[in-house]
Amino acid sequence: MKQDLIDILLVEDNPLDAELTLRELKKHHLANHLVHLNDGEEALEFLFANGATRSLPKLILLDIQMPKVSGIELLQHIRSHELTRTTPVVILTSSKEDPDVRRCYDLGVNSYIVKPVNFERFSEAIRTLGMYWLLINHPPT
Amino acid sequence: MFHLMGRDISDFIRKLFDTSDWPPRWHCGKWTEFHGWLYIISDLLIWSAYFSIPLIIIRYISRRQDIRFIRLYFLFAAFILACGSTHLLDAVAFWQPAYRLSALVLLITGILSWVTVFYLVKYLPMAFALKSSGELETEIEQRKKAEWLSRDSERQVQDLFDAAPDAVIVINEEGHVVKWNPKAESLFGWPAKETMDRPLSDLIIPQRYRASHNRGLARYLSTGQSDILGKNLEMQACTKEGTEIDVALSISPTVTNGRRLFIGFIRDITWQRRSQEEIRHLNADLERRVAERTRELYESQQLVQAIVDNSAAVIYAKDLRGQYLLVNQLYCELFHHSKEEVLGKTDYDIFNREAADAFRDMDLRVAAGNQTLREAEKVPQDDGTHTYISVKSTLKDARGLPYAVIGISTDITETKAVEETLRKSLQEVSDYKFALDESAIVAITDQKGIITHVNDNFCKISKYDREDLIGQDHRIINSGFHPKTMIRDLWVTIAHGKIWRGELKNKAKDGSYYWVDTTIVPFLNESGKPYQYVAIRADITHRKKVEEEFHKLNEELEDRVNLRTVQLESARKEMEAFAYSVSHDLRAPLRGVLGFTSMLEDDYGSQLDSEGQRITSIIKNSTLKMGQLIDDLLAFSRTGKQEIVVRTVDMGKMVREIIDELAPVGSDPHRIEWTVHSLPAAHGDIHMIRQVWVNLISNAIKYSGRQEPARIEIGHFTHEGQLSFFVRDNGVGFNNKYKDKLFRVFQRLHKAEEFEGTGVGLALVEKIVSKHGGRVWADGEPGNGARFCFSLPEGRYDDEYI
Repeated sequence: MKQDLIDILLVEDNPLDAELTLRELKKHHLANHLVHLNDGEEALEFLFANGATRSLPKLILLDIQMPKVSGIELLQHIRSHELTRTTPVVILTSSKEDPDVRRCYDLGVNSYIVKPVNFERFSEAIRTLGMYWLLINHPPT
Repeated sequence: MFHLMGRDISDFIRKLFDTSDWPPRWHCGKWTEFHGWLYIISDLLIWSAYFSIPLIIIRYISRRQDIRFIRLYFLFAAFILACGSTHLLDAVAFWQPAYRLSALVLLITGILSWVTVFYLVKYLPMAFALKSSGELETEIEQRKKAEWLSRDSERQVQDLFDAAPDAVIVINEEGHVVKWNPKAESLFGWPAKETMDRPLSDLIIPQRYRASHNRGLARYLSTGQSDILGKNLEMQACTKEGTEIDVALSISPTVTNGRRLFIGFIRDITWQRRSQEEIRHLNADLERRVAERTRELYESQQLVQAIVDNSAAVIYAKDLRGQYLLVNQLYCELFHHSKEEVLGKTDYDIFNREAADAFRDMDLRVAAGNQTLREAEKVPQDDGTHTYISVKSTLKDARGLPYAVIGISTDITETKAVEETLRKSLQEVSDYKFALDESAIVAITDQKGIITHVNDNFCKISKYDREDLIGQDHRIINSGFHPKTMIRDLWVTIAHGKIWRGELKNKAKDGSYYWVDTTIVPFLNESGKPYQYVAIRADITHRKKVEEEFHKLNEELEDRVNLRTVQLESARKEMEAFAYSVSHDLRAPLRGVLGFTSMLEDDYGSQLDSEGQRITSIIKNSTLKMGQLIDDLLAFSRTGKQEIVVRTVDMGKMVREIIDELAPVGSDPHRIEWTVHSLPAAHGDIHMIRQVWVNLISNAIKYSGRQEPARIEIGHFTHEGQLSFFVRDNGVGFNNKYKDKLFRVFQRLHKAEEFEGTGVGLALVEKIVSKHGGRVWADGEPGNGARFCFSLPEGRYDDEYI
C-alpha cells in the first residue's frame, strides 16, 4: 500500500466494526487506498507527525467513541490544521443518543452517520457514503 | 414931540442898564465919605428891611387858612418889595449910575403904591366891620358866660356820656368818629384820642361788614332810608387786638350845628351770649344723659328679662300673700299658663293642694327668716313628678323689710336619671373589667408607654410583682427577639390612634420567654390624641412552641426533599449516562452479531443445511429485536427528560398524515375501514403528541390486523371537563382486569408470537400525556376490540398559534 496515495483514512477502535466497514468498502472496490488506524492517537501521529506533508486522504472516517484521543478531539485538530482544514470528515457513531451531534457540526464535520444495527442497512450506509465521497463528491484541491 | 418921545423911550429901553451917560454919584456933587456911606448904608438897611417884610407876609399867608383880604396882603408885599428895590438902586448908583432902571423901578413902585391905595379905600369899610380885638374879647367874655350858664346841662350830658354803661360813639356824615366815650375805650381798646376823625369802619367793624356799613351810610345820606336806624341790633364787632365780640347796637341820627351826626350805643353781649350757649349745651347734655340712662335701664331690663326667660331654671317671685309677681318663660311652658294668667294668682290656683302646701311652706319659712334657703321640691308635671332644687330668698323694700320671695328652681330629674345610667354603665364597665382581668393579661400605659396598671395575670405570666412593673415601660419584658422596625411600627400605629395587633415574645423576670397574642387599644382624648394605651394579651406560648416545632419539622422535611432532589438529579444524570452507554456499547456488539451472521450466510450459506439457516435466521431476528428494544427503551427514557414546548396542534391534520404514513392507501395488507371524525385543535408538544397518535394508531392497526374488515374509529369527546380523544378498534381487545398493566413498561397482554412489540409504546403514551397534565385510559373486551383515550388540558401557550 503506497503511503502517498490514500483515498480513505478509517479511524475505528472496534475491530468488528472496522472489519464490517472494510468488507463493505472492498466489496465495492472503494478500499484500494485505505488506511485503518485503531485510535485517535495513531491518527494524530499519522496526519501530523514530522510536520506531516504526505498526500492527504480524500476522506476521513472517524468513530466518535475512542480511547485516548476521541473522534471529536481529532476532528478539532484536523479542522484547526491548515493542511487538513478542508479535508472531508465523516463521523460514525453507534448511538442515537449522542449529545455531540451539534458540537461535531460546529467543529465543521461534513457528515454524521449513526451506524445501524441491522447489517443490511449498515452495509448500505457504508456503501453509499463511500461512493458519494469518493466518486460523486469533488474534493477541494 | 411924540416922535421925539418915542425915540427917547426906545433909547431908554435900549440903554436901560447903560451907565455911561452919568458919572457915578460919588463924583456928582460933593460927597464926603461919611455922607456918602451914611447914604449908602441907610439905603441898604431900608432895602434889606423892605425885602424881609414881604417874605414874612407871604409866610404868614401861607400858614393861615382863614385869611381874608388876601389880595391886599400881596399888594402890600409887592409895594414894600418895590420900595426896597428903589433904595437898593439908589445905593448902587454911587458906583453904577443906572438911572434909567431906577426910574423904571420908581414907576413900578408908584403904580403899586396907588393900586394899594385903591384897594385900601375899597376894603376899608369891610375892615372896619370886623370886630376889633377889644370887641372880640368882649364877645368871648360874653360867650364864656353863656357857656357857664349852660355848663350844668352840658356837663350832665358829658357825665352821662362818660359814665354810660354802654359804649357811646358819635360819627359824622363821613363816617368819621367825633366822640368816643370811656366805655368805648375799654370795650374796644382804642383810646378816644386815637379814634378822633378816623373812619369808624376801620376801628370796630369787622372786615366782612365794612362794605355793607359804608353802603348803608351812603344810602341813608342820599335817600334818608335805613334798615338799622332806631333798631336794636345784635352783631359782631372787633377790638383793637382784632378779637371779635358780640354786641347789641342801636343807632340814632341827630343834627348838631346843622351837621348830621349818628350816635351809637353799643353793649357787649358776649358773656350773655356765652351763658345762653352754655345753658343750651347743658340742656342738650342733660337730655342726652337722660336718654342714655333710659336706654341703659331698658337694656338692663331687657337683659334681665332675657336671662330670666331663657334660663333653664324656673324663676318666679311671689309677694308675701303668695301671689305671683313674676314668672319666666319656662314656668309658663311647663305649667301651661301665660304670664298674664299667672300674675296675681297663688300656687293653689296652679298646682294641686299637696304641692301648693309644700311650696307655700317653704316660701313662708324664707320670708319669716328673711333668709335664703336651698331645698329639693317635688313638682307635678305632665310626665310625672319632677324633682327640683329650689333656691329661694326674699326681696326687700327700701326699709330692708321683705316684701316678696323670689325663687329659682332647677329640674334635676334628668340629672338623676343620668346619674343612674352612669352608675349602671360604671357597674357594667367594672364587670367587663373583671371579666377581662379573669381571662386576659392586661396592662395600661400612659401616652409615653409608662406602665400605670397591670392585672394579676400580667404579674403571673411575667413573674414580676406589680411594684416592679408600675412606673416602668415595656422594655422590662422585652425579649429582644423582635426587630426594632416592628416595635417602631407598633408605636407609630398606636400613636396615630389605631389598634395594633400582633404576637410578641416577652421575657419574664426569671429569664424565661413567653408568647402573647397582643392587642393594644389607644384611648383617645377629646382632640383624638391617645392619652393611654390598654394592652390586652393572651398567652400563646404553647401554641408558639407547637408552631416552632412544626416549623422545625417543616424545615427538616424541606432539607430532606432538597437532598432527595439532589439525589434524584444525580440518579437522573447517571441514568442519562447509562442510556448513552447502553445505546452506544450495546448496539455495537449487536451490530457485530448481526453483521457476522450475515457474513456467515453470505459466505457460507451454501454449506449450511436448512436447520443451519433457520438458526442463523433466529440469531439475526433475536438480535434485531434486542436492538429495537434498546431503541424503544431509550426513546422512553428520553421522553422523561425532554422539555415540552406547548403549541396549538391541528389534530385532524396530524392524524390524517399519520394514517397515510402507517397505512398508505393501496399498500394495506388488510382492509381497514377508517372512521375519522373531525378533531378540534389541542395544545401540546407537537412531536410528543405525534408520538402518542403514532403509538395508538399503530397499535390499533396491529391488534385489528386479524379482523375482516378491520374498523378503526378516531374521534373526540369531553371527559370530566377536559378535551379527550379516542382511538377505537375492533381488534383482539383485552381483559379489563389487566387494563392497569397496559401502560406499564415491558408489560404485555399478548405473546410476542401473537403480536410483535416491546411493551414500551403505551408506557410512552402514558408518560407523554401525564407530562402534558392529561390522563390516558382504556377499556376493552377480549375479542371485541379496545378503546384508548387520552385527555389534554387547555394548555398554556409557549408561543403563538401556528
